[in-house]
Amino acid sequence: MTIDEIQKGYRDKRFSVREIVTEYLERIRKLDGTIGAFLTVCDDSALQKAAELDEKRSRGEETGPLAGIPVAVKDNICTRGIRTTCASRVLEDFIPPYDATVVKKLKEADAILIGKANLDEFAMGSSTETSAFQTTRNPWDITKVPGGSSGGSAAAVAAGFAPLAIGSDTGGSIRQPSAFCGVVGLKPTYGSVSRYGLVAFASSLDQIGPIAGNVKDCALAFQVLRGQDPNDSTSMQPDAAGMPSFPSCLPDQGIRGWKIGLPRECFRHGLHPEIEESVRECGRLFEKMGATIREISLPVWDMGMNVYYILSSAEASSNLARYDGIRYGIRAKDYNNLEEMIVHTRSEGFGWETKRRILLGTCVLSSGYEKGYYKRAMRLRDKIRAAFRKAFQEYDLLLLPTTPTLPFDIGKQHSDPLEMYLADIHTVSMSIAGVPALSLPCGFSRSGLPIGVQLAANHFEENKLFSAASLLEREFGPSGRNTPPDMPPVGKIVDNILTRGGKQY
Amino acid sequence: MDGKSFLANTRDGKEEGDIFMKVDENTIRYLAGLAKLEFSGEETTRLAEEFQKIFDHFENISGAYSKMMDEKPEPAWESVLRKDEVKPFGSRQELFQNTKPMRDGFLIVPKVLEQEKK
Amino acid sequence: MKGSHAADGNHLFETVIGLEIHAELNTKSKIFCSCSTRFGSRPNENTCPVCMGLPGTLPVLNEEAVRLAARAGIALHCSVNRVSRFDRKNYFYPDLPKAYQITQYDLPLCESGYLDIETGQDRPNGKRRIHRIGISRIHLEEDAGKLIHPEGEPVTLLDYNRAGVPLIEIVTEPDMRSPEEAAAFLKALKSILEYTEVSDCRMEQGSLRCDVNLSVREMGKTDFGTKVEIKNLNSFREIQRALAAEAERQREQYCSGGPDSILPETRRWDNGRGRTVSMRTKEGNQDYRYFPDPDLPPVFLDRSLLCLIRNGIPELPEQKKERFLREYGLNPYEAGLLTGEKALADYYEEVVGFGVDSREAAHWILDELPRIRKDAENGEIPVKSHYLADLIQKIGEGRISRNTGKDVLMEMAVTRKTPGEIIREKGLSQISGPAELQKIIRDVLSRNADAVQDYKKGSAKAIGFLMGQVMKASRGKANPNLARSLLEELLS
Repeated sequence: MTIDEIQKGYRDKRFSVREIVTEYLERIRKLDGTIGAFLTVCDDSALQKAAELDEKRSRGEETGPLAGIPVAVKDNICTRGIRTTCASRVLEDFIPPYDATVVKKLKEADAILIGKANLDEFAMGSSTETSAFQTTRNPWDITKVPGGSSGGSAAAVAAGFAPLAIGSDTGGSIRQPSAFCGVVGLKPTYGSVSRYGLVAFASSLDQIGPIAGNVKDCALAFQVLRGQDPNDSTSMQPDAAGMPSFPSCLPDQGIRGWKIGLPRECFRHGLHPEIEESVRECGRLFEKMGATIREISLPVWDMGMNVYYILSSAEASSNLARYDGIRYGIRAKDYNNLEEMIVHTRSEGFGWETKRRILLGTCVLSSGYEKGYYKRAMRLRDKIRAAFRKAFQEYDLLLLPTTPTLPFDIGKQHSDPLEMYLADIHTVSMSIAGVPALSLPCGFSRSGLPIGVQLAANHFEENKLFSAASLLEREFGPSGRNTPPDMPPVGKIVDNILTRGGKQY
Repeated sequence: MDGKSFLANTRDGKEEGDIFMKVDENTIRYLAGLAKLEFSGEETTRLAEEFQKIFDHFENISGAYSKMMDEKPEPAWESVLRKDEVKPFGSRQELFQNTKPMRDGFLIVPKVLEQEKK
Repeated sequence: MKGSHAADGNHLFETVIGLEIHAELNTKSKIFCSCSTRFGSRPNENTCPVCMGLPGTLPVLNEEAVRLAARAGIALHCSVNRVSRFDRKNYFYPDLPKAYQITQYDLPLCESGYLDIETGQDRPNGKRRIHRIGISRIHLEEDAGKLIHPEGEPVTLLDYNRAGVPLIEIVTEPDMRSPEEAAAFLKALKSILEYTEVSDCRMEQGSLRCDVNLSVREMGKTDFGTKVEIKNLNSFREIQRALAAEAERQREQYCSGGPDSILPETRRWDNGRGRTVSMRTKEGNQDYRYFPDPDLPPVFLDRSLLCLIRNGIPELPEQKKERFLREYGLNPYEAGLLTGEKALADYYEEVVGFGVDSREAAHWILDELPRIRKDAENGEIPVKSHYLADLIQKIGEGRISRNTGKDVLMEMAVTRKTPGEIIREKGLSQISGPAELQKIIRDVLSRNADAVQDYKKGSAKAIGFLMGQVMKASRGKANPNLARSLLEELLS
């Protein structure tokens, strides 16, 4: 169901918030055993909030823009009083004493937190398989991964467990799982959404964003999430002029006369031919709508992966140093002194991939290596930013694949780090440049797996992404309508309520 | 002479701080010490091999390196500062709900020996 | 030149000293969060998710910390960088909640300043010598928490109240050549930081801390010797003693084992044993993996803000001293002592402000006040300025004697009463009524006929004796000038 459909139902008094929440919880209870999208399901608090909202509505009080909408939140975003684990043993019992700014905003918008979604440990991965607690399966084919690191969030939306989910994207962690799960995911401009309360992986790249069943819902959620936060010095208030109200700018503005660039470097070896065909098809559709499509060259593209892994690992090694067992999180049982306590806690608490990246980050910052790797990557980051700046002087959008491959088999991702890191090859450059990028479904492979196409725009030009994406969505149909073949249709939620209760509101 | 060392020889000295880093098990052990992590012998070997591969891959940023100076950040926006106001955090109990051993308001760790510092 | 080395007992060597001073800034809240910086709170009372390093929290810079640090920089003749940046210094220690310290590494807030110090100024009429001590940088950083090691227990207790309190680190050039110079520099620096209200500089509370780098070299050599760091110095006295002892140790080491036998290490001052003790060697420099903190955008100080900060700087010690010389007719020694401590200078000006003679006020504040002040808490001045002014005026008017005045001052410090109250309660008023005095004098004359005879015979001593008797009879309350003239009158 879309946000619009649910809210219309509330307005028309076809069902109550409590009923909707109950049905979503019921669906999660029935089906999440298979999918594994949630680490925590917030039954009680969700139902309580639903009852409060119903009461508010019955008193005729104004409600927020996401009133009564169940939201799944990635479990690396702090929720006061609700366990926030980052899918890591080291934080398996951690209960934050505060809400992340985005969680506060969701609550103020009257959204309902329905659960905490699975992820790769500390958001390091592209398959959600590095989670210390469980495997998440792709609702379109449960033998496949949902992508990652926001795999739980994307799978939750695809499986109809929530119309909206919140993820985080450091090098592709919203876009890649959105593509794998056939949903719409936005990595906003760096700085447009507060990171306060997002457990840091790589602070200069991390960005929170929405994952939804359609472009409009995604835009509506972004509207709620964005904004400068006094608690996050890197958050920014864009010029008011550059930020029209998204839902209202859709989709009539059109893209006639826009120039859209197709980075040549994405279409080389390793790109799945069906994905290439889908992306080129999107180009042809845009052309029909009156845009100009040009192949362009971004020579910095090839450095993106390396720059990304150097910078993100370096920052991670520092961000994850605080998990020493002293103040919070687990503490190793077995130690003879403080040094052992810290070393054992960290060695037992972190999974292999996390430890590998901490070590890699420690390496590129350590004396003797720092000049060659970290400093150099920082300079190359400036080059990559400059290249994007130049590209967006000429082009309104970039059009490119989100992933090089279709969703792969669970357990098959190579433990070889280099092959693993290739999953992000088409998403990292936008993260480095800090520009917004959105992935939306553009059809299915012959094997029936979703294919995602990625659009990127200049800083704070999310509106352009939403406009173009909603035009494409008209061609392909909103993903939210497509229920994975083995699952009961999401529309059932309303049917269930109506047949069961029969009571009109 | 294999390709890599050939490259190393031809480029060596041309660019300051060029990167042809060797990673061995000693490197891994040194880094593990800095990061306060512990690895078995087998894991150490595996990591050394993986890191060497990753660093070989990192070489493509070497060629792209240009002699940009360490630039001072451009004053692109104003500093982000907050007013000097005291706002105590509400609940002590909530703040320390994740801290296990406490005594009279203090956190407790095994005895710290002076020479461990830094 | 010769003097200081002769004092060190060995003029074949030169001692080279550089200081790293940490001063806690005088802000209400911490540098990156809104917790209080109050000293002496209950353990972990002034903490929050940010300064506890909880997952997901972010730092936001306190503008007052930047202002104060820049102010210190300007007062110390530094250039204040228009752009500066925060870096992370990565190391594990239980007092460091994030396992990195946010500090400034390659773009500090202030660079290349200096402070002129005078040595020899402590002696009245001493010859003043001026040394310029270079300051290489001043940067902002966060303080760490506190560890407490309970006696005989296998545990350490952690208090994070201090974690995140703003600090400046002031790093000098290796420009000092004797422990006395180092102490003089530190005193002058402390005075400037107090004047500018940058820090309250309470060494006993740890809000001013000093690490020292010291090396020795043969006289005439230009290369520096191996540098040894000394930590844990908590008072001026300790610093002087520790540096003297360490310089001596290094010279002996140098003479017996050669220059290479001095190891680059960190040593701690052991006050009890009166010598420095090795803490750790510095082999293989620590690998702190500094990198710019991605959570904090660079700090930009534009011209107008700098101007504002510059204009906010109050009169500095040197300027105040010149003014005191000019306005109050004091000698350089008095002016130096009064302006060496801002609280004392302010107090002096308050007292003078009540219309008291400026030299008289200086006398009371410099000669009498220290005696009662040394017992006061926190070095507070225990007598209100207008009470002291009142007291000095009463003495000037002859209401009480100078000696009685000293007793009244003592009493004021204890009871906090006004001088009037004390004089009244204790009946200390001088007898200045001629009638009453005449009666006493007549009494004395009649009882000491011999002395009167002697006086009439021309004995000069006799009048002194008679004055003494008068004072005794009046129990010290007779106004001496009046008594003398009445006595002479009655005798003639």
